[in-house]
Amino acid sequence: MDKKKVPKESGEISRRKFLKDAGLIVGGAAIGSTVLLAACGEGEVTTETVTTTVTETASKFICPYDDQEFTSLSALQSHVESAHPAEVVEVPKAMGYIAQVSIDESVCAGCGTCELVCAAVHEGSVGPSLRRIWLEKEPVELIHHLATCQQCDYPECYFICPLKDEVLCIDSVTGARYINNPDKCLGVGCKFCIDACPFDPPRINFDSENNVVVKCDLCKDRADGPACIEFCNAIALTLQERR
Amino acid sequence: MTVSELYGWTGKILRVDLSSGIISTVDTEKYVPKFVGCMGVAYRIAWEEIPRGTGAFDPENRLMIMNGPLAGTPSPTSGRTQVSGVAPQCSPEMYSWSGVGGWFGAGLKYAGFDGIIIQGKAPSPCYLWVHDGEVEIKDAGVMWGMGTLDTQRELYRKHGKYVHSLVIGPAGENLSRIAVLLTDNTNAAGQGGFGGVAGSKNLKAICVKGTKSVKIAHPDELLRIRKEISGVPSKNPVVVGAALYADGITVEEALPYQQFNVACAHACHTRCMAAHKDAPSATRPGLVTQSVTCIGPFVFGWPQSGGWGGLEPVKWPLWSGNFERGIESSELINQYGLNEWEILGGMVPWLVMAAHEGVLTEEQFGGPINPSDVEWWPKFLHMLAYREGFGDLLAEGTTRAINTLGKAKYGETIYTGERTREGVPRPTPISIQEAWGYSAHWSGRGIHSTLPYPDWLLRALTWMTSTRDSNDSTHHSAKSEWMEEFKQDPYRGDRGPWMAIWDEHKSELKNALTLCDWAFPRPSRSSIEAELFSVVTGIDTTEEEMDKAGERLKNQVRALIMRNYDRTREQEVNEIMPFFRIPDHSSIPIDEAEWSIMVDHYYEQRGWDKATGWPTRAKLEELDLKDVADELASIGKLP
Repeated sequence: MDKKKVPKESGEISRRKFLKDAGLIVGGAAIGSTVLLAACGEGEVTTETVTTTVTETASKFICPYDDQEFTSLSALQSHVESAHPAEVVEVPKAMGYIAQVSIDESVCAGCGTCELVCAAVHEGSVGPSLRRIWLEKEPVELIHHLATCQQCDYPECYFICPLKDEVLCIDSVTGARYINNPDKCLGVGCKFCIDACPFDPPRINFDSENNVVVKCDLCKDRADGPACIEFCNAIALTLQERR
Repeated sequence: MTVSELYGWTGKILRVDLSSGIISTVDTEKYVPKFVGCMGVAYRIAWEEIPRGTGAFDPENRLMIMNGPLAGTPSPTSGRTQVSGVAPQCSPEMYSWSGVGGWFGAGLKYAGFDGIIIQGKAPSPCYLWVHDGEVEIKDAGVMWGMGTLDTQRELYRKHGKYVHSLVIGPAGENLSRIAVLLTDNTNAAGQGGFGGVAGSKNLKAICVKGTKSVKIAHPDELLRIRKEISGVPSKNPVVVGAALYADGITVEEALPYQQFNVACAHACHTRCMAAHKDAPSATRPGLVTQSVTCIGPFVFGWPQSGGWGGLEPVKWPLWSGNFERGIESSELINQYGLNEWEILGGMVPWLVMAAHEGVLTEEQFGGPINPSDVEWWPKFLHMLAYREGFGDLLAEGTTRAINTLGKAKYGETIYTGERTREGVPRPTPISIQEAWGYSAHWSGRGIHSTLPYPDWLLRALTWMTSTRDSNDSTHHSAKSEWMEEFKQDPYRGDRGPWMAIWDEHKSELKNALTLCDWAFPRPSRSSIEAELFSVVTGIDTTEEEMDKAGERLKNQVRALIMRNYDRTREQEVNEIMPFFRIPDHSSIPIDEAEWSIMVDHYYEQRGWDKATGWPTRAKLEELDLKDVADELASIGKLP
């Protein structure tokens, strides 16, 4: 078990207790699939088996319903769709994701304004734990990488969330995978979504001062759209459609 | 206002005593909003903690590294940092300061602090590791001896992503008076020699990392202002075959290497620094930085000086053009932790002209003085950083080197090589050191020769009352109607001193907030400092109130240099006069009698006594500096 999944200190609810008390069915998941796998059986155990296996040994994919092994994600997907059709749920795609354009088109100037305006429009405060986009800046190199939430077609963060559709939600208009009801997230504080994110750095941040997760929502409630794109002086960010 | 309600500031300034290892904090609210932040807070701490007689390399000198209330927010260019203390480059040693771009200031804020006061001397080489409110004095180990770029990378490897470091190189370790503190993107706190101050404290680096947040009182308003003053976004393509960005000169017409632009400060809204990718060096492989700004283009070649605004440049060929040699030299200057402005704007021109006139011989220098030779720069920079041979004297800075050798011969000898404008010879002395230990900077002589009369009179006023060059934080902005009025009667009119004072106060605010010295102030929107301060801190402040704060800072530091260094009118006029007696590019020298009248007007407008140049009690009390007035009175320095 990942260290972060260990039950918190006294006073905080453990995941196992929460799952039992809430009586929820927990989603198992395979990275990057286009379907939702609603797991059955032991809930937590199944989920951990799948996520651990899939994320840590990318060459081996295990079906959460019958333990068959596959060498590719697409093979596992095909298997689940044919052998376990009742477990398959369609997830709406996001309208796109924030992407850094090719350096052949425009070079990120490294100013970090994207991180700052992101935090400012969402939180009214700024800081590394409030950003939903990451300027990956080495101290000497002048070419920088921007790490962004990919709004995955198959969103691990969404499936793993114990309060799926209450905290980690999918916006009906933009398809953005976003955090809703931060107060409820605060009550759990599990950070499963961060652990489940397949990227490094995880594209979900943890606001350590308020003990909630924060995540790119494509600025779905903002009239002018994503602030990071609007304020990028170098036009180095774009809303990339998923093909 | 209580700490829990602070917007902009974190509320804590870190104090580290390297002698005792004691780490403590000071409440920022002891100093703000009265002293605004950053440079203003440092001025006040210097007033309280740096007594007369404190030397630059004394353990009890304070090395203050401050961010401002805007740091870490989307306020344009807010990532800047100010470094200050008694500066070894100043001649004589005086309290001074240097701004530095980069991301360090914001990183320090996110780590939980509005600044760091470093005092004492560590028993062995160390660095500070500041992270989320925690502070550790750590063994610098193998980093002692490393170049600045390698040191930053070592700290990045050691402490992980998202760290920002302010470091010294071998020059700082060797107590060079022209050593810098350097950070991301080769931004340096260049003037002042603060790298040597860090070296004298056995302090190799400060590395910060944090996840704390900064509260903004009115974030939507801040973003609105940011957008209003930012240009229209434009793509930043990699181009090949473009002319090099140049400081009024075009060294290369077309470079066959990839070129683009990068920001040199966190939250920058302009990206004016030119960067290159995969350009080769002249004598050694492995270049990584490849960025150029400010005086940087002169490292590629010195064919002439100036040429702004359609003015005819001064032809003054000191060394030939060679991009590969220049990009290598620029990186070596950074790696060694040396002051690029001092080297390019004063030292190497002096060496070339002194050699041309035969006053400096190959025997003295330890070899030929030939910056056109690709092999010359690495050898020269090495001897300078490690104090080898003649480099030991040069490490004292150009002004001290000239004074040690004898100013009459080594400074005042007239250069007989080519120096013409519009076909007319424009002679210059071989030294282009201007005042207080610093080389010429936007004063109508030296590398910025073509700044015209009477513009340089305004710079002369600011140089005169400072402890360093006047372009530390401003490039002197003005409305055209102000300039037109000023030019009607430069020496005797009221407008000239008014413009200098306007710019000086805006300059103080830039260093206190912080803002970039290229993009601010904005005469067309002169309320911008007050607007940004208000929306970030929630303290509604008018432009008039903000400018008054700038005036308070100018008077606070004025009192400090009066008390500690006996500053008077006579002293400061005498300091700048030899330089301004040199005719400018149009053969116009300063008119000393008229200048005296201009200084009278300047002091009058400032509320300073005309005879001594000292602020009056009325002025200090108007600025809420009664305690300063009382202390000056007690030592007989209140007019």
